[in-house]
Order: sequence, then structure tokens, then C-alpha cells
Amino acid sequence: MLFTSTTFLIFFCISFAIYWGFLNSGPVPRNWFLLAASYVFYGWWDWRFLSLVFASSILDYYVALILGREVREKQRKLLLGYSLFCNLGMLFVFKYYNFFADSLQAAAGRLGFQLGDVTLNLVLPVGISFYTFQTISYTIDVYRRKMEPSRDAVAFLAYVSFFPQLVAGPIERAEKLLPQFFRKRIDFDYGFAVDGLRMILWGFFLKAVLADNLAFHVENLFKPGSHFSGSERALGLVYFAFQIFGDFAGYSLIARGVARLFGFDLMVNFKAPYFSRDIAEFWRRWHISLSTWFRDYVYIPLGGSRGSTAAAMGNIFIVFMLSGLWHGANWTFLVWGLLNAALYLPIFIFGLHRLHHGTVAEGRWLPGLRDAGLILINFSVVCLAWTFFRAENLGHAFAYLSELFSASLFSFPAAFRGGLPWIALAVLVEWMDRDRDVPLKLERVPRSMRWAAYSLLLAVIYYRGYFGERDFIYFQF
Amino acid sequence: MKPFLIQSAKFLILAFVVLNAVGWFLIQFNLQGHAVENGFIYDSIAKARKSWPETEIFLLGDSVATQMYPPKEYSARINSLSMVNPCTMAGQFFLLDRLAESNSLKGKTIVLAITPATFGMDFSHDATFHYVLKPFYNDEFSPWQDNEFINRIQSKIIASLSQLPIIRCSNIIPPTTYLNPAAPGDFFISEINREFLLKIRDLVQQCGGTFVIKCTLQPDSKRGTFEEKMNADIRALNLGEIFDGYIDSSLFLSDSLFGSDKVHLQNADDIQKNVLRL
Repeated sequence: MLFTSTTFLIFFCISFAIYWGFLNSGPVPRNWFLLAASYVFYGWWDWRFLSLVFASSILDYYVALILGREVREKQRKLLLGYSLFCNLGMLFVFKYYNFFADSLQAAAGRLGFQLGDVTLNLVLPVGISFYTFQTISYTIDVYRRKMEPSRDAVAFLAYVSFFPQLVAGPIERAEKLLPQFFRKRIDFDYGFAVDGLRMILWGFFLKAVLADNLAFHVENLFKPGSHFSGSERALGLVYFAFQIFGDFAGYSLIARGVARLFGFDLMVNFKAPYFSRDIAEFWRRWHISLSTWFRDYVYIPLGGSRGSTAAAMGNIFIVFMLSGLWHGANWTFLVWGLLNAALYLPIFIFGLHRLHHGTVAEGRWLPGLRDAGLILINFSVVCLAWTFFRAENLGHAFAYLSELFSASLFSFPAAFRGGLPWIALAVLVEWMDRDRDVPLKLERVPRSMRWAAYSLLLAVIYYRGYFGERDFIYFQF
Repeated sequence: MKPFLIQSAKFLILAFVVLNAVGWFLIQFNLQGHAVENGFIYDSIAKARKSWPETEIFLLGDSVATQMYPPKEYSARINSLSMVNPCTMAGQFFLLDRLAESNSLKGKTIVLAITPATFGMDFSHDATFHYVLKPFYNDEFSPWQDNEFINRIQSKIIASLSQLPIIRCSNIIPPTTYLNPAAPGDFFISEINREFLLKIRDLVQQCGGTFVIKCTLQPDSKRGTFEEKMNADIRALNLGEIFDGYIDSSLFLSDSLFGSDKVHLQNADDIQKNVLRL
């Protein structure tokens, strides 16, 4: 069920009415309802994969319960290992098995051995990387005694499958989201809900207008075997950068907005990432829930930056490599991850990775020349890395880059300029909201003007948006 | 909760008004083509409103004809006003009527470039709401809509709703169960298309023009697959005069030039200009 479909609109209206109309007497009926609604939401896509969500949730629920009362360290480690083995095993089978089997087959072929067909005919379950990471983080937190295990199975199942964020995040930590399911009473907060509507409105613009209008150009410009001028290739990269931002940040915003309408607060997942002044700042602002997950559950346990510089560099490489692979089972994602590591390491080695922390040009309308230059350089570098993310294979990526860096790079693009107005509008609003967690607040604008602006934005979404056809890119991860 | 619902309702009313106002603006300035799928048909409709004294050949047609003769490219001696196949011959007829109002068709040639499969279209198509009702079921085209056409649209309410600016400029396509399509026939041409094709022929003759139907480019693999059946149907329906030369003059090209549907051209730039030698 896509957020941008009519089916979701109907589902949402019915759920909203039942939820606030009848179920606010306590957490038990509310959580049962949210669980049922979430399973309907997920099952709408393919009900058979509900068993995976259920299995992953129930496994970690019981493992965490036992972890909570177990005091023997060896037993606790075994339990954690068992949970990791099951969760990562499930992820491996559904997401990575064919990739590794194919790679093994190709390598064996090169060595003169012929292996039969070892691939499996499996469909990648939507959102598996998101909910698996969510349950893993819960079990690790209980293992670390950072939190008590949940003794309410329904609340826990509802937390894992909470429909706004089930299929494409944010990857919510149990310590933040789970307690929200135990609240005795959730009072409807007008301001909180209206902020949710603002998030949904801007999320729809990012997804249905920005991402989906750019998708048309990106598909053409990234068609394997096609030939374009260097400037058109450059435009293709800029378009893809904004397409993936619009797609994913748009989904995250809609997810946060919908959650707010049910009284839940989800974490900020994107914080104006393209206004970052270096790659380290970019990774603190892009897909925050995943970056912080890798930081807390991979980088720090590996030793983080506590050991020697060489060890820390190794840890950074591992984290970026895993981050690349998390996005998909393809060499292109791996190279994309490693490329980001290669960009990150120089500023890490020179201790510049914490140089840019605050909001760029805080309290000012425009950035200074230095900041503007850094933003432009960083954006260009990020765009170059996106080539590998979007390309079908490594050969395609290199062919794309070789056409990009040709004499025609400095020519005027002959076609595909249609996406630029949407990017301009997105950049303008993102710039105005760069230091806010809620977009489109327009606090100093009178209500009549504010409503007029919202209505016009709604008109842009309605008349220029694509609805119900294009999947969100991050569903496949 | 109550203030939230009240304020939301107020905002939705305002949004409805604003969305309709924006839609109205798009229609008035002929910009709705930017909002809807295959919006280029509105370019053809806009062309039909203008006078074209230098034009000798007006070309109407479906989406393949649009690829061969893009309306934006052909606006001189040959003037393309092609649209898409769900417009049906009814849409083509309304467009031609509008053209005849703005232009004298005396001595002009009206070419209808159509893919054989297009003749089978009728109002049961999913996109009829989008390509027939939205562009043509309005005041501008009402003078040419007879009772027979109106009767085929059983529910007047949903047909009228198609004219709300908020609907007309959108890609909303409700199911077509409210329409009254002709019973599926055994012929290559639907009843609706047959009826309106005859009207097109009569209109051109009344205006003193010449009417010609041409086949769009076909892939080699389709050679011999439709001619026999079409010839038999043309004889049975007594349409020989209208379809004179349609089959014999068909041009077949390599399959590799066509897309996966074997109907549309993969890249219209691969074919020569004025490929039908009009």
C-alpha cells in the first residue's frame, strides 16, 4: 500500500476515525488495533510475508525476555548470537543469497569450474532491512541492559510493525518508540497533529512532484547504451540526487506526519543533507536513523575511534561497506559505500570530521562565500558517488562517468531541463527550513496567507504529482 | 480533536476552491496539457481553434501518427492534429468539427492516420473518461454531440463531473462502468468508431475537402496478419469507399524499429520525415 495511493487514503481515514473515536481508553485496545492495522497495511502488498515480520518480532520478544532475567554472561551471549543469527540469516537468504551465489558461480567459472544454477527464486520482502534492523537493535539494547525487555507482546509487535515506518523507516530505536506504546492515554494534541499535516504535505511534494517528475528524466539519462553530452550527464546526476532525496526524505516525512496523527513521534531522518559542507556532515544529515544505527551497533562495538588511527580507519571502511551492502546486493552499492569511505577518511585523518556541526548560515538569509563553495563542492562529490548507486553495474557507471567528463561537460544541456523548476522550489523550501524539524511552519505569516500558500502547494502536488504508480525507491532496500 | 476537525474541514473547502481556480486558470490559458497524461492532445485541440490558411493537408490520428507527425513539428503545408487512440473516432470527429469552424476545408485533404488496432476502440476503454469526456464533453464541443453520443453516457452526473476544473486538469480516471459501450462485435472496427468514421467522411465531403485514411507504419512481423480479416470486414460493412487504399498502401518496417508493444516506434527519429509522403 503506497502512501500516495487512494487505497492508503481510505485506509488512513478509516483507521484514524476508529483510533480516535473508540480506542483511547487504554493501551491494550489501542495496541491491538495498531497491530491489526499495520498487518493489513503490510499484508496488502503480500500477506505471505507477514509471517516474516511476525517471526522476526516474536523471536526477539522472547529472546529479550530471557535476556532480561538471565545473569550468566555466556548464556546471554549465546542468546544474542542466536537472535543475530536468525535475523541476519533471514536477511541474508532473502536479500543477499542470490548475489553471493551469482558471484561464486562467476568466480568458479573464471577458474574453470562449472557450477550448476545455485540461485533461488525468491522475492525480496518489502522493508525487510528496516524491521530486521529495528528488532536487532532492541535485542542488543536489552543485552547491553540499556533498556528493560517489553513484557507486553502486543505492544512489542505493534512497535516493530508500526505501519507508518514499517516498510521504509525511519529505523526507530525501541528505547524511543516502544515507551510510546505504553502510554495510558494519548491526548489529541492539535499543534502536534497540524505539524504532522505539514510534514505530510511537504513529503508529498518531495515524493509525488520532485522525485517522480525527475524519475522520468533519470530513467532516460541512465538508460544503458544511451549517449548524451557531458552536461546532460551532469544534469542526470543532479536529478538523481534530488530524486533519491525526494523519494526517501519524502517517505520519511509522510511517515512522521502520519505517525503524529496517531499521537506518535518518530525521529528526524533527513536534515537538509545537501546543504552539508563536507562528507562527514552529509552523513550526519542523510538517513540519520541508519547512520546512527551503524554507529551504535557496528562502529562503536568494533572499537570506534578509540584505538589506533589505522584501526579506526578500518572500522570506518567496514561501516561504509556494510552501509553500501545494506542498500542492495550489488557490487555497485558496495563500491558506492567504499567510495564514501574514501571521501570520509581524509577529513577523519586530519580531524576535520567534526568541523561543521551547526546549521549553515544560521540566522542569515544566504550563506557566506566559503560555505556556499563548500556546499557546492560537497554536493558535486556526493553526486559523483551516486553514479555507482544508480548504475545497473560497474561497467555502466564507468561508461556514464566517461561521458560526463568529456569536452561537452561545459556545453548547455540541449534537453531534460524540465526538472529544474521543481528542484529550485525544493531547494528554496529546504533552505528556509534547514534548522527546523517541521517543514512549512511559516510561523510569522498570518493564517490566511499560510493557508493560501498550503493550498497552492497542494495544487502543485495535485496537478503535477504522480500518484499510486511509482514505488518508493527505498522499498527495495 | 474537534477544533482539528473543524479547521481541517475549513482548509479542505479552501483547498477545493483554490484547486478549482488553478484548474480553471490552466484551462483558460490552455495549460492543462502540462498537468495531464498525454497532454499533447490539448495542443492539437488548441490548433483546431486556429486558422491555418497555408495548410493543404490536415492530419488527424492516433499516438503512432503523433510519433510520425508530431503536432509541434508539422504546422505548415502538412498540419498535424493527431491525438491518441482512446480518443476514438468520436474525439477525432469533434476535433475535425472544431477545425472546420475555424478553417475552410474546401480543397483541403484530411488524412486520418490510424493503426489497425485503433479501430477496435470503443467507450469501454479505461481511458475514455480521460480522452473523450474530459477534453470533449463540454460547451465548446457540445454543438456536435448528438443524442446518440449523449445516450452512450448513461450517467450524466459523472460525465458532468468530468468538467469540474479539478477533475478536468487531473489524471483521475474513474472506472468506465457508467458508460454504454457498443456490444463487442465480430468486426475489426467497433460500432462507435464506424458510426463516427462515417460522420467524419460526411463532414469532409460537406466542406468540400478530400478524406483519406492511411495506415501508420507497421512492423514486418504483422505483414499478412490483419489484411485478410480487414478486407473481409470492409466488404461486409460496405466501407470499401472509405478504406480505399488503406491496406494496399501500408508501409512495413523492420521489427527492431518498434517498441515491445510492436505498435509504437522505439525512436521516432529513426524514420524519415513525412514518411507517408503526403
